[in-house]
Amino acid sequence: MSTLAGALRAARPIRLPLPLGILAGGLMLLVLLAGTTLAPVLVPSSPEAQDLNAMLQPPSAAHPFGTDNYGRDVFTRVLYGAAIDLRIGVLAVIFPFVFGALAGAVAGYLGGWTDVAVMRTVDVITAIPFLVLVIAIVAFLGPGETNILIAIGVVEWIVFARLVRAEVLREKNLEYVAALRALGFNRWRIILRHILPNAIAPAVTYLASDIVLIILTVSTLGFLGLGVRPPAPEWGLMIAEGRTFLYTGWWIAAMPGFACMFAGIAFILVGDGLADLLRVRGQ
Amino acid sequence: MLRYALGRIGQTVPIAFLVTVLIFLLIKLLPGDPASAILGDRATDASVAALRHQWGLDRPLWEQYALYMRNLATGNLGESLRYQSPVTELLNRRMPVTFFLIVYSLILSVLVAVPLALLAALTRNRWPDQVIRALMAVPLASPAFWIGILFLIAFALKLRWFPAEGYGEGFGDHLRHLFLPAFTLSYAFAAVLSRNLRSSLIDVVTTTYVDFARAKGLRGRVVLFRHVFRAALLPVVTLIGVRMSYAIGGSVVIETVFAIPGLGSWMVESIGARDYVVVQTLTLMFAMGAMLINLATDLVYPLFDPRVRMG
Amino acid sequence: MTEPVLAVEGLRVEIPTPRGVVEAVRGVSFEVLPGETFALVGESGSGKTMTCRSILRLAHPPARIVGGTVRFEGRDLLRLRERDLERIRGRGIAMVFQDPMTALNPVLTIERQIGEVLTAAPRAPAERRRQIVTLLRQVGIADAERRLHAYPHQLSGGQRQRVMLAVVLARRPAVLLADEPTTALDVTIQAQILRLLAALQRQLSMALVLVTHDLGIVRRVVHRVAVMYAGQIVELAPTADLFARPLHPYTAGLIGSVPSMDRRRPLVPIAGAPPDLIGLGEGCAFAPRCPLASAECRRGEILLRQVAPGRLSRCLKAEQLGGAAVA
Repeated sequence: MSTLAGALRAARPIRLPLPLGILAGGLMLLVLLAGTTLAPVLVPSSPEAQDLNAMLQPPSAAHPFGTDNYGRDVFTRVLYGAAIDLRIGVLAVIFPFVFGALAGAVAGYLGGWTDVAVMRTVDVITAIPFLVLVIAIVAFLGPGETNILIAIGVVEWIVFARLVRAEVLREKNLEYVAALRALGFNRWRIILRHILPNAIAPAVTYLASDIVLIILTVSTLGFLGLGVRPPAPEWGLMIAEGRTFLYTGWWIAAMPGFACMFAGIAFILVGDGLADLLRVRGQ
Repeated sequence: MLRYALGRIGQTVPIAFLVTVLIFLLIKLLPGDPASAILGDRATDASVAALRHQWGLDRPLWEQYALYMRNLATGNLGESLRYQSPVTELLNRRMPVTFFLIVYSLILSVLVAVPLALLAALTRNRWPDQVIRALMAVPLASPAFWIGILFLIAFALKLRWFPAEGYGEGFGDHLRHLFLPAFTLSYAFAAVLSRNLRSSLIDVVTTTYVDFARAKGLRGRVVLFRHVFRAALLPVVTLIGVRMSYAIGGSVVIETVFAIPGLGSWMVESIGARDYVVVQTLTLMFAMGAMLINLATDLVYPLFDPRVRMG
Repeated sequence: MTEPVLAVEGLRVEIPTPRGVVEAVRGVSFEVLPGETFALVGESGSGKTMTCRSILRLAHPPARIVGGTVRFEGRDLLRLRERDLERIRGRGIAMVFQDPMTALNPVLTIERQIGEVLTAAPRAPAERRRQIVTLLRQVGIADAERRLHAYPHQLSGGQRQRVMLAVVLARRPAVLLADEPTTALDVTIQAQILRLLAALQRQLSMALVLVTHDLGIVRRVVHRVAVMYAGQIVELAPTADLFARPLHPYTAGLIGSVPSMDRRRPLVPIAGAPPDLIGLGEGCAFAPRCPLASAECRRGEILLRQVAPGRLSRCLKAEQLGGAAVA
């Protein structure tokens, strides 16, 4: 996935402590983080504050991203929305990562029926298009943040399971594993304390990309009315609300998307940069 | 080749069955009694009881599944509460629309991705490559529906080149109406395609057999198309199969953005209308579609790669 | 003196890398006479493959040719337009590559891969097919008709190498560049391929430039040898003379480290490792590993000079070595 990172890397002439990709991405993430935590300080008004005298104002000095049909400042809402999307993005990746890594490690190491069972489950979940399955689960569970986390958790773990399993399959044939087994170590101990740390690298590298995917999924669910409930300033939700005003107030729908793209690029740069770094160090 | 084909089909069938189990179980996620949830406002004691009996909700789980499968096998896909008509009818009307959209976007993706990947690979690390890679990175970070909306604003509302929504009448009209949504879908797909094709081309260009082809004195263009391209296309064919799943998911949202009367927008409407039977059936349809496409690409691949064809 | 069929003069090739510019080929010059077998010998990284590829401008970017001339048929190949060079490739100068596993396109049939060079052949498919079958038989492939429709992965390594030589035969070039043509093959097949190469040479009056690290092969089939080290030719001589009396410490070291059937000779590896080709300083590149090196060896530019008739050496102490014989 070294597209932006690659373009940046090829362009720089100066020596930096870290690749330009990671620095740029890290900086963007810091900006986002600062924006979300400092939001109450940066923008005095609340994201729900309506000003019916200032409805549908285009971007200006007073309202950098304009106002929406209720007179709410779009910039404030986007900033608070960042907190929501980023939080869910990071939270939602925890279960898939942990469970997926464990499942993959166990399947890879134990082999046999365990492996078949896990991999068949992975195949079945893969067979259904990701978004369709997530939407279906949320449809039946009901909208809301918890259900989004559940839906994504239940579906996304397979990616990490596959990554870790592939690594474990490779690792378990190495000599140190045979040595550990000869020493009589319990198999769970071997998996958890010895193999998993060595097999986890590709999964860690993939984390950043997965967070991007999840943020995009969360905003897609919000857009479809299946995610976080209004009046929360979630980006997808804001874009959906802005749809009615595309002609008169294009900024309502456009701005949250730019913010989302900004976050996405930040994570991708950091992720790619990390991947390159780990690859080079490993050599 | 036949053995390979049978093997692939043999692998897919059990998975397909397990998928029906999964989707069958989905409805169990509904809080409370599924029958009343399904009937919603129209629930009366009598209708709830009737539905419970029809689905065998008082019987053990596996019997319910058997009933479900029998219904599927006989083409009974349930009834839409909202439209008060069998799902099969509505399916026949909406499926071609989605099919058109997906095929359209696939063609556009290929038309966009192939020349760009070629250019990027040939000018590796020089500015055309950088520009193309940066352009192709955008859809990876942004929500597809938002890009669709931007296109909508720019090309349908402001410039008025394309209609903003709907499907139109007649083939030409379809092409006009579906261009923006198909293009939006294809942007994301082309991003992935072009990246992979570019890598593949670069890998192939540095192989020894391409060196040998050039050393034979073949004209540059011959080498490019007969040797480089043929070999570089292989991994991309598999990729299309894998990635189509994401494209299908994307079509659900895009149909909603552009108000296209296909399966995706129907699914979203049904969720809002609590038409759960439809949601379940459509999930199944999408899954089967994705599996079929995957199987098809797997079966087509050996046509390109003699090593697989002959084993 | 016969006119050389191929003359390389002052060839310089660089490879820019993130760490710096690698000087892969640093002023290589040699001539190849018609019909002779000439070898470029050296360890990996010595620049022999890069030199070979650069003759036909087949080096992969980011490697680039930054100096020198390659004269063939009165023209400098390095200055030709790509289109004109394409006409010389295969027809005037041909090249075969090291690893037969990867040297043939896996998705095209043998017939196709040979057929595409038969540009002067008649259009009729049957006639072309007969020509290809003849070629395959000439390179020693049994059951040629069946092999026409085969794909590379269905042939053995030796057969694939023969197919490459069939392609060469089809064009009847004046010079064949062979980059380690037998390295990836079994020892028994190696001998067969070498015999085939010799036969082709006789048949076509073709010069052969053999790039190899295998001194055993050199000793058997080569007329003149150029030994390469760190991107330069350090010694050039007729084979017999080179082995009898090497005039460069590196050559002596190479010969000394080749296993031989004579058990009395101890295996003496050359101490040290080849230098980093980035930012090479002045003086002899071999000096750090050389038992004869002195202060003057580390200063200035050491030139390749004629030490005896037909013998060139880049060693300042070549005359001293002239006395010592290799047992």
